[in-house]
Amino acid sequence: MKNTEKKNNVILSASHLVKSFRSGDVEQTIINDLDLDIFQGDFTVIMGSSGAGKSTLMYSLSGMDKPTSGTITFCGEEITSYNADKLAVFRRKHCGFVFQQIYLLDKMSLMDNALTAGLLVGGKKKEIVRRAEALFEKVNLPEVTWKKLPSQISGGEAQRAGIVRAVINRPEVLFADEPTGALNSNNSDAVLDVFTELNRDGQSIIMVTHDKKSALRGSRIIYLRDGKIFGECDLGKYTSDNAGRADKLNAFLTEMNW
Amino acid sequence: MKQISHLSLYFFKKDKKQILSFGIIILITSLILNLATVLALRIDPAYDRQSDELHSADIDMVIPKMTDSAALSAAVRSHASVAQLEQQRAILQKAVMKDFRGTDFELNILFYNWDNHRSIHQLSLIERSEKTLSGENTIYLPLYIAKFGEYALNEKITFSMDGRDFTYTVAGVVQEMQYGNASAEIMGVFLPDDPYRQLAEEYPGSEVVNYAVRTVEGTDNRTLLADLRKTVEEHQSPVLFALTSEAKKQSRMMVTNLLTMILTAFAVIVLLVSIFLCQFRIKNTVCEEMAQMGVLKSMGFTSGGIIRAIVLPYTVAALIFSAIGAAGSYVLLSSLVDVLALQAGFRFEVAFSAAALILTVALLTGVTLIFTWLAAGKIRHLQPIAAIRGMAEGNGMRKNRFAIARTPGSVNGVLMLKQMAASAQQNVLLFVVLFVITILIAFSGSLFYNVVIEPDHFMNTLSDESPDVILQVSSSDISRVKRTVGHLNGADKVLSYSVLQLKVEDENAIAFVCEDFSKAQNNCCYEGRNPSSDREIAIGNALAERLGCIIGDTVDVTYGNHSRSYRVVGLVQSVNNRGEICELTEEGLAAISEDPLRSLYVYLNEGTDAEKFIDKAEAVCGEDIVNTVNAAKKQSEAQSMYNAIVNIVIIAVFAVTILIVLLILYVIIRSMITQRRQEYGIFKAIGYSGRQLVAQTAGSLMPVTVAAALSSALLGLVYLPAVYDVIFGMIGAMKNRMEQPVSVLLLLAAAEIAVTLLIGVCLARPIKKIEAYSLIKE
Repeated sequence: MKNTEKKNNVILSASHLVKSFRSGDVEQTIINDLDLDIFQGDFTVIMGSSGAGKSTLMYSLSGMDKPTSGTITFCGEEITSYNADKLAVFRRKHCGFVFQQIYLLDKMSLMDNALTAGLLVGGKKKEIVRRAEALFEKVNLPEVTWKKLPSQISGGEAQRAGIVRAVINRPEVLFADEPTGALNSNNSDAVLDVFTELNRDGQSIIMVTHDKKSALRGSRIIYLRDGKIFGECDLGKYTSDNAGRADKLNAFLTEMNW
Repeated sequence: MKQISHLSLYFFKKDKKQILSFGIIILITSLILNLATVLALRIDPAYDRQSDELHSADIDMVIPKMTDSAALSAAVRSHASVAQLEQQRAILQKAVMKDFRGTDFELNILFYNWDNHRSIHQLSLIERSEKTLSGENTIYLPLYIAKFGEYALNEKITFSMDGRDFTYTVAGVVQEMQYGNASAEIMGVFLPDDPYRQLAEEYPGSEVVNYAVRTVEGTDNRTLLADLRKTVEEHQSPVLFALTSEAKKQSRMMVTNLLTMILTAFAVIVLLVSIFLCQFRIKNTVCEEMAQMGVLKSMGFTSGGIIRAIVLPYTVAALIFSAIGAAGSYVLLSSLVDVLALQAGFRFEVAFSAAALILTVALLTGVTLIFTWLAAGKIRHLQPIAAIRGMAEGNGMRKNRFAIARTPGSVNGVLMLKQMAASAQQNVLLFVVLFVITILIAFSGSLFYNVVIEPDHFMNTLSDESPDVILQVSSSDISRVKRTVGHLNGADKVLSYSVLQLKVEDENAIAFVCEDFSKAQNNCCYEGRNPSSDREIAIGNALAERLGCIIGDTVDVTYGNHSRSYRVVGLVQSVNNRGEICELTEEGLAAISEDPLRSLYVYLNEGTDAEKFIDKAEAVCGEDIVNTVNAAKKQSEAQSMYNAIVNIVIIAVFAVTILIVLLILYVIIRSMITQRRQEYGIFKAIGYSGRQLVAQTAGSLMPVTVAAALSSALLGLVYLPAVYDVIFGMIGAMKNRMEQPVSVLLLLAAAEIAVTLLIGVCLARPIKKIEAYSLIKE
């Protein structure tokens, strides 16, 4: 995609973003005057060492957390001025979240977890149930698991259910925070496959990770250091040519002193 | 022990706000319980002590002076059960006290000579005028007349007797234990020697002798009174009035006893609430701190040690707050006693009761200790590693209740149901608390409805026939006066109705004589029917019990020198006369009395002013009317006392109710927020707004709230009549007129639900402050 074309496809944009925390008399700046554009259809991976501000950046972009200063615009509309309720509406309509700790509602079945999000936006219940069923099938969760509680399934299954919940409202952006961090290798691959497939279907994804294997699935790698973008790498859409992508990623990360 | 106290301090710090709310409930419980206990333990002995100090008689009999004799007094004195006899001379007059609490109040008054020495029924002067009242006719009033009648020192009091007014200046107020209150129909006042002699000269035929009898210990006063009556009558003397100390006490202490009972019930209910609350909190602490419990166990803490550490803050809170509550009850007690003194005519000096304090504090602390210990017992079964992993048995749900796809309704509604279904313990606590609270609300509401909104229900239960105006007529042609008065503007109906004393078998009884009981307003008959022919009689419950007679039996009635048999057709009640009454028709009385009835009961149309009506009646029949009583005003004044007490009870109940609901909801919602903090974070991340979550949380309490409030309120239709039966049965009212309108009960339940929702929404507001981002931070 050409740069001008890409600019027209900016879905999320951060300008002079600052996020700092105060603990007693000590103020710590996590994101420091950061500018960033996220493009429609990209699988953006945010990497960096611990404390670099990866998750803080992601949650600021998604309206889960308010920046200290700077602006974030979504499809041209500034969301930094939104109050808590308006941000909630923004999240329910435009964002989906996948967490490392999965955070399924433990007293609800997988289906109810999905519907809790799906029905929030509105629409006919039957249609939303059908959409949830289709998504469960897409992430390879058989019907028998839909009625199970989170405590009755494996971590991988739970994370895939978490993805269903995240995308049921067809969000413009899917945010994923270390989605494979708590999973074993097999389960990680299954979850990453889902992400890849979703991205292939046009889903914009922003994923925080420090796992190279996960990062390989991304199309654009952003490397953070001390709250600023330290480097960026365009991997292009995921292909089965893992060797070439891995080399490129390795070279980039070496350059970043990772 | 040091380790345990450190651990205890940790649990206290963690739960301090909830322990404080528990403490406040204990404080309320203690306050009410101590009030009830002090009243129960102190006021009765104080009454007896006051009686002893004033050397009160066990039996009083009033007989005409002209029939008194040395032989009679010797015969009474010689009775084996008589320990001491004192004959006190007095003047007995039916008198109307003018401006008694703003109205005219008719009572049988015994005028005693203040200067006469008394060894029995001594008087304690509690207020004395500092002014020199020389040249004025002074009087000493008993506490009841002075306080309830609102006669202050140095003010005038006028007695109207046989159309003549006698005015005295109040020189002092005395505490006496000789008579009951107004409901006992007779009271004594005290005139210094000069005015006493003047009055005696005016009414030489009214001089009486009060036989004040102190009995030997263990005497059945009622049986002895019956024996002494016989003795008096054998000496050709009538007994004009007779009272036992028990009857006096009953009439004076009625309201106090009722209040003590209500307070005790109230305290038990609040105690139940606190028990459930502390159990709920302990169980929640165990759940919330499951992992820490596992860590503590793995460190080597014993189950007993952890349990002691958890239970200790609650037990200490119960100890401290129950002591504060008990001490605080004395502040309320002094104002409560003032209200009660109005009805009891007896000033109860509030004194600290160590026994009540120990009882209250020990009970509340003990109950807290036992129930918190039981609730914490679950800790014994925790396996350390299972607890650390949060896998202990019973931790978490096993079923997906209210599946969203299948449950009709909006997602927010279904989530409310899910939240409710996930909190069984909380539901049980809320249901029990609101159920018992609704019992209190329903009782108070019903009391308010029957005493304040529809006062006839309450007053008709306690009082006898209650017209608006009573006219004492001198003319023998009472029917002419009746016709004239009946045609006056504002008169609804006029009944010939008299109250007199006669004998049924050998027992004295107050007789209510009416031309037609079916036209009377307050039907006192609770079994069978009122008499309708000249051969029929209805008798009071106490009289029937004493005579061992039932409906269908025949009894002999004696009035003056005439006797006749009547068939008992019904049983009637009279709280004022303790069931020692009967009902006869006008024709029935005419068969044994040559005197026609001389009193008319006038019932006025709504909105008619009784005072103005009396003026009109006097204007047209002035010569025939000897005396008038504004009974409507008298009743409304009597009612004002009950209103004052009921209002206090209701305000207290509603205030305590709101406070308890607030505290309980605080504990429940706080527990919810603590336990579900992560869940709220997830909801917010998904896109639920703070407002939605607050509504969801407060709404999840509603199904249980509605179920508890409605079921308890509607059950009121069943239990309230039973409660009233018990309460009024204790004071001799076999049939009460208290009603429980469904609309009032439902209205109260609706108000309770609305208040609960409102409080729930307010208390759940902190959910708004939970950030979705806190999920990550935590």
